[in-house]
Amino acid sequence: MFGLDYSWLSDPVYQGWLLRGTLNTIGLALASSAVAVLIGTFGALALSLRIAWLDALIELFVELFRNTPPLLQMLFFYFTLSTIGLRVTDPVTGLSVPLLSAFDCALVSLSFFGGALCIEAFRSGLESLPRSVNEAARSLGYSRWGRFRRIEVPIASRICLPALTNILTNLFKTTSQASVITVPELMYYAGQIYNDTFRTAEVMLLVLLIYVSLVSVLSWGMSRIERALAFPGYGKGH
Amino acid sequence: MQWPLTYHEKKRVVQLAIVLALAGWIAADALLGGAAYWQRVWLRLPLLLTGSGSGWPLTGGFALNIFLGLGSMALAAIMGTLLAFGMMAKSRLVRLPCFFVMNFLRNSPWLVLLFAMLYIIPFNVRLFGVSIAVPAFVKAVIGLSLPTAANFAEIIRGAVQSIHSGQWEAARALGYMPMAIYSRIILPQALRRMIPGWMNLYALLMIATSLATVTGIQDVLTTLNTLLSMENERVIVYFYITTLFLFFAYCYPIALLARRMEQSVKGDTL
Amino acid sequence: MRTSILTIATSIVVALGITAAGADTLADVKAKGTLTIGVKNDYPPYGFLNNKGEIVGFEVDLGKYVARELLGPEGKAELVPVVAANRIEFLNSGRIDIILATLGVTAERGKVIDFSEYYVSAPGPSVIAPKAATFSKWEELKGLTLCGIQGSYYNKHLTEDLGVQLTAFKTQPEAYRALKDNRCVGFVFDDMTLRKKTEEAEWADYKIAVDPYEYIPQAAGIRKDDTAFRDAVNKAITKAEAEGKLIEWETTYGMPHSNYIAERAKAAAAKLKP
Repeated sequence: MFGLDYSWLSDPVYQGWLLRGTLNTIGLALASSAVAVLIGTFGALALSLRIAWLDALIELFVELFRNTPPLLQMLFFYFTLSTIGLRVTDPVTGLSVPLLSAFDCALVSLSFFGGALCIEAFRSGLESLPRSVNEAARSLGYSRWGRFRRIEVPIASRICLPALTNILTNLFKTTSQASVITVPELMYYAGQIYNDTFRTAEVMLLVLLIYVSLVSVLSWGMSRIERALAFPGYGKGH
Repeated sequence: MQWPLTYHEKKRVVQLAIVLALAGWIAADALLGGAAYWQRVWLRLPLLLTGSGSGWPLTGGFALNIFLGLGSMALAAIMGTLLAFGMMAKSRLVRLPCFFVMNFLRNSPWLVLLFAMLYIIPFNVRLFGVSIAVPAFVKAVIGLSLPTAANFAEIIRGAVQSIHSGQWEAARALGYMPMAIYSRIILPQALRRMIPGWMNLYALLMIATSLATVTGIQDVLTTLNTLLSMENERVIVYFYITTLFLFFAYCYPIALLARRMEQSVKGDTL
Repeated sequence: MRTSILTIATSIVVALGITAAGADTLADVKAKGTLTIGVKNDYPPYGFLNNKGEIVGFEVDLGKYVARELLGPEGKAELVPVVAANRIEFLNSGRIDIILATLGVTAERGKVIDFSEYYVSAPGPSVIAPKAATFSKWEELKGLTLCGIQGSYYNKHLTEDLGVQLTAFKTQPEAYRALKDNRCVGFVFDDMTLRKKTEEAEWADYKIAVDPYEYIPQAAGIRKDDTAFRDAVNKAITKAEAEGKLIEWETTYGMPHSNYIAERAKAAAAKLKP
């Protein structure tokens, strides 16, 4: 059809590569999302304490990782951290090898990048709580911790969900850049396959479709969660 | 300054301390031998910035990333506007395909889309019997402008929909035609909300131009990689930090300005 | 359902995008007066940059010779730098007319392009590794992590048949850096290039640990079923061989004189003798 040749797809080697690549992509996305959400949670909580020196440091972290290309961050981690001392001795060969593997570098870069975005999103979520809610809770006799646990977090996390969906889909898409530092995810195997079969357009189209499908599933799942968690009537105002 | 310091004053002091500490650290490192490395970087900086050793003409390097960003943004603005109006069209036949295209583009990774465009757009286009070569730069512009256009369209749609429906009703009651409502009432107000979004998008696009290295054009990352093949292991740290800083120095002020504008727009009661 | 719609939609986009390349390259080239050649610019002695920044080399000279044969003494050769990963794409999409860029003859490639006469027989891959490395045979590499380059024809053989853990980079500098960093125990790449590397002072602690397992012929790449053009190119190559040009270029670019080229020169001379 349309002069596209997908006969290479019948080769079990290429099927295996595509499958392995997809699984690695999902694994990298899940791991970096988990770390990013953790960073975001702790970062936003720390910001809500309003400790000047801590806030200055967190803001520096956020701006640094939000305003530089993740691709360049990965290359930086991959090629330079080992030259400035992050090395270990391999117990088997006795050689001094880099501490962080390609996967680790991608994970660090992606979760810092995502973490920076999460801190911002969670902070504005916490800040957007109407003051009246807090006052009402206080008048009902909630303690500071109780207010935080029972009122602020449940409401703020729901306010943050759309932004979180954006960040997580963004992160999922960004995992493709890890191919540049040879993390064997989907994009990396795509390169291996079209370099073997010379069916570049066909391979890239298929890979694009796989990514779009996965990201669509992710954002659909997140919107289901949003709907399931929504407070009836709350947040419909805008 | 009065004692005790307010929260914001304290933060200023800490920020100043961080900057001083960084400067001190760089100075100390320079004294301990880093100066020679910085000198290598300084020597190569024109190449990194402009793609030519003397700093002129602007054939590559970071300048090319800026051109890429501007070109893609311009193209994305045109496509994004069309797409946005398509998504707000009355006819389902127009609206649904536009939504589909927007979602497809927004859900595809920038890198994969860029790569796919690289191989899907032919090297030569035949127009009226004349074959015109499509250089890699043009392909990179197209590849980057596609996801940007989708986001651009979403910003327009979001801003227009954020205008309170009462405005539409009032305008209609006053006898405005639909086109006039758009151009006289809705868009002037929505524009104020779009601009910060567009600026953020531009900063995001600028960051994404780093991906263009896969198309083989002489952008800052390709230049960096070529440069590094001639340098020793230690000095590449300094080159990477310099390149990271270039992006930061370009994108951070834009993001900062966008946030300021967002804050000022927030106060509007529409 | 959703994906099938996507597939169809994108297929249409692609179908519109891809234009058929012209089938008669010889006529096209003669009309332009220029032969557009895909060459390497980072691969001595076949194609590399000299001190003045010009692309020179064994295959570059061959390309210029072919251009003159096809187009007469005024014929121009336009050199387009290519890499392993894009040269076939460039050829089939019409960006270049011919590949003269260390193109090894393989069955996989034969499915998408045609080859000219095989003018060089080059050693296949070898492995560069630290002097302390203990492996010396391909079979001993099973399970080891080797650096490599994307688009090398032997990558699939290495991973699927020999069980090598391959870490494939886009460019050579990155692979060399990773090797120095001990991210891999060796770097598998074309033997000719690696041998040159071991002569550099910086790489004195490294050796060719594993020798090539095969020699593969090198040929010009030509679009499929472009018969008239291929015949013309073959004629030009044979003429160059008969005139001893290839042996001359071996000398110019400091290559060891190979039996393969010498024998082909003799055969070509015999063939062209009236």
